[in-house]
Amino acid sequence: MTTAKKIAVLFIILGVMIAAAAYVALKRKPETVKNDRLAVSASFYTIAHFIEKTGGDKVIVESVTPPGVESHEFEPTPRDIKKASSARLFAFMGGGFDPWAERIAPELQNQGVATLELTDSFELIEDEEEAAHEEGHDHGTKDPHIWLDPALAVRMTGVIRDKLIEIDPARQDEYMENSAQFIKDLERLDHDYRTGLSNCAKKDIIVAHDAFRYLGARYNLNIIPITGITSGEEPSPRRMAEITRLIKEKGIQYIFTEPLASPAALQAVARETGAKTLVLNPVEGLTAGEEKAGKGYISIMRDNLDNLRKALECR
Amino acid sequence: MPEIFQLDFMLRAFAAGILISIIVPLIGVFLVVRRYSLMADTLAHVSLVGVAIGILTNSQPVVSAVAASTLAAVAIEKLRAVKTLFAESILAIFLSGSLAVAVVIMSLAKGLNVSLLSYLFGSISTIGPVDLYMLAAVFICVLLAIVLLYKEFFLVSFDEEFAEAGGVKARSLNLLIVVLAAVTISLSMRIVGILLIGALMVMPVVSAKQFGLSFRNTIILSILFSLVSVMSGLFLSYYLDLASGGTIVLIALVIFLLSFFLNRPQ
Repeated sequence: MTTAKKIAVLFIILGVMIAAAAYVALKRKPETVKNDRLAVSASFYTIAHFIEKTGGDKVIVESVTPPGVESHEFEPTPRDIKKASSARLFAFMGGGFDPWAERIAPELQNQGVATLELTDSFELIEDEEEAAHEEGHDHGTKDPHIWLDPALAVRMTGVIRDKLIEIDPARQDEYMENSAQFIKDLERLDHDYRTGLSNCAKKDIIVAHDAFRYLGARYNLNIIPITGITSGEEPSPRRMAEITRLIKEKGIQYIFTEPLASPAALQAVARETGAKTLVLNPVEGLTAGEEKAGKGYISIMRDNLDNLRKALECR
Repeated sequence: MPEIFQLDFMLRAFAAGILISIIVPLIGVFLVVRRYSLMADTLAHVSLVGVAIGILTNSQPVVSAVAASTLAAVAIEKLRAVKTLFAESILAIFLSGSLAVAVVIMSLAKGLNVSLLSYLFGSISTIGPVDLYMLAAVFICVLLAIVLLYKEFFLVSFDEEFAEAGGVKARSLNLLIVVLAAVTISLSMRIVGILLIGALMVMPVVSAKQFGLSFRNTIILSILFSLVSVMSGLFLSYYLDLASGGTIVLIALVIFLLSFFLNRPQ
């Protein structure tokens, strides 16, 4: 074979392989359902869930972050972004929780998608400790976990409702009615937290990452996080030693893990101190199992309440 | 217009991809013939130090990556003159040493896991207009340098002493080629990622060399190979929802395997 022939053979073989892959790709054409429902894209599960509750069967919501993945550790593929750009509204948390969403939001606006950054409507708790030693560093100094306080979740529903009405005023009545129903459920949840945590022997809880400030502030709990506001960090050995000493000093019986984060560090602390582990779910996403079991924000928050009552020895 | 070209960042990715796939093998060929293939990987790892500094100080990580890898390239070239050190030992020291520095800097700033991953393996949706302008500037510099100094680069790469005897300033040319490599690598990491850019610099060149063509034609063929890898890689990764850097390098690998087996003596 001459060299030119060899090169030709190479490109023919390569061309056939790429064509085969392209054929597979094009066969999986995205199914575009044409109907009159309002298409909304949300950065992660909790926002999608709130929009679903507010919009009812008038909206079709999709969470960009898939089940079982932390939104903070997620990076959308170009295809995910393309999918989000075909929605009418893209809702995300902001405040450093879903940095990829903050990045793609302007791009989606260029494509004519309305965007809603939920933390814009809230006064976020500043993280003084991190702000102090990370001067001029605006990442990770605000706490975006507003949805973990049921009272703020009520306000979040209101913000979502107003946005849906702004985009789709024709269905104002339905959105008002659905959101009123959901807000009632959230208020009942708030009430149960208030009464359930009113008479407890302990106040301190050890959690995996610093997601529960709003919850702690609302129900007067002392939250001791092992790592910072961002999930997925590994604590330093020194921090783990501090926590171990604290658990022994305060006689803490239970420490809290999260379903989407690696429990290795907390299990090590538990072994060291003899404390047991319980789950306190920061509702940053559902696992595939939770989704199958039909779990949602409210039922997970109720599980959290049960576990908190157990750990804090409430009557 | 097909949906792949409706998104601004995909257009930027393709534009950056074309620029990268022309200059990366162009520099790679001079590294490969000098048995300096590991240089690409080393400089890529040094870029990570720059990325870490950039994230820590909240500035443009690409700018500090270019600075870090350029400095390292100069230092490596200077150390190569020290006769008690083997060239490959210097590369190994820089490769793992810079990784250590990068990890320590990363642990100073918290919560960097995600952005770190996007630099390690590439993330085409993060290519901004600034990245593209910088890449275009480097593209012109590399092209000019190679076209104007082609003969000198050729001589130095094949026989440094002979070139030196013929009046070619070997040391400055070596320095120039590694600095160009450093800048190119730092700017290409958004597309293929730090861990994979070395592959793109070396694989198309090694594949093209299998055909035993003249040096000039080997360069042309390697650019063709890398263009095909990057373009089809971007297309396939988009439509099949795969990681772009990995897809590109896999196609380059397939090209290498085909080149290798097509050219084996019967």
